[in-house]
Amino acid sequence: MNEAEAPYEIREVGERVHVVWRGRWDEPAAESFASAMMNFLAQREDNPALVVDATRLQHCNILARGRLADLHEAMRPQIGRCVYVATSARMRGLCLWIIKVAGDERAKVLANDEDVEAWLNSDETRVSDAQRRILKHLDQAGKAAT
Amino acid sequence: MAEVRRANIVRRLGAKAMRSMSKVLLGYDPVFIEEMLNMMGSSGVRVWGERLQDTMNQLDERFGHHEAQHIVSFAAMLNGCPFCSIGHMYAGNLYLFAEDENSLYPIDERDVLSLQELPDEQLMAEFTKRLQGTPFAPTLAHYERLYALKFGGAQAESREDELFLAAIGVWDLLTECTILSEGIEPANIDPLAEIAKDRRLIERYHAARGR
Repeated sequence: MNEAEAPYEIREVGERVHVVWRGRWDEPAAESFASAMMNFLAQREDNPALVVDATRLQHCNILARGRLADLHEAMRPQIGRCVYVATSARMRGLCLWIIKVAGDERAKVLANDEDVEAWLNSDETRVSDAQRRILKHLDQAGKAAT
Repeated sequence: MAEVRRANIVRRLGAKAMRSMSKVLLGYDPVFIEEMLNMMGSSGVRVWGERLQDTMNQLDERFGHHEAQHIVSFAAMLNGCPFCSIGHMYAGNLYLFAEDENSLYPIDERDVLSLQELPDEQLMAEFTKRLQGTPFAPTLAHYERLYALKFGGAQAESREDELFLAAIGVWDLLTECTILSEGIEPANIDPLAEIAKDRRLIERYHAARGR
């Protein structure tokens, strides 16, 4: 299997760690990735920001999803802020489930590079971010109505 | 193995009571309420519940019941949450049917799961295919605008945009809870609005859909 076909790729991009997921994942695929990811992070002395590109993930079964949530929870103390990038609703739901079950409030699911940069450079949690936006836009809608 | 953290016994009992009350008073079961209590406590549920209702009221006032429900279904759909997107699509479809029993929205709530599987570009193309040139073309324009505001870097230019952005925020917050609402058969998800109480209308609606 050449690199282009590998189910995952882990690399350093500047101070960040970038991960790409591809294809169809079952539990052994998730297990293999989890092992590689923990080994990779063990070699780092900092807590790097993590970007997971799930745009090429076609399918992830329920066991693999659970394993990825376990992994995210395990690596939480070793990473900084985190973004999962997904460009289908189904995959965004899957990624949100993973970070929600892992209890990582500093992780978010997004769909474009601009939002990724903004999130990694902010200090909000997912919930505080949503709450701030609700208050802001309800206020603006109220002002626009008068 | 990954497990969803449950609320404590007091919150679980509180959630059970709120679900039962909602089923009787509003006609639908907010299965996500336990996680809401877990996440923000009872005072948080009250405060943010009021803001959710404020957003929904303003959308209703601006767009009418069925279009408002279809808009929030789309906001939830983009987050990949089946529960809210099916429940609000169902409610929107019922409000439309209540206005005119010869009118069925081109997106059946039972199509939502398969639509969520599509990459975003294909999802938008599918909506265009189903809604363009129909009386529901204005809703398509709202979907396109909401998508641009959520993912396309568009900035608010009108009160409608502010309402779409408020809805995006509300359903981002709610999806934190509803994403854990698994194990419910899509066909068993209630319409997530008071129209859920009208069982006769619902029977006629399903008959009109041929089921």
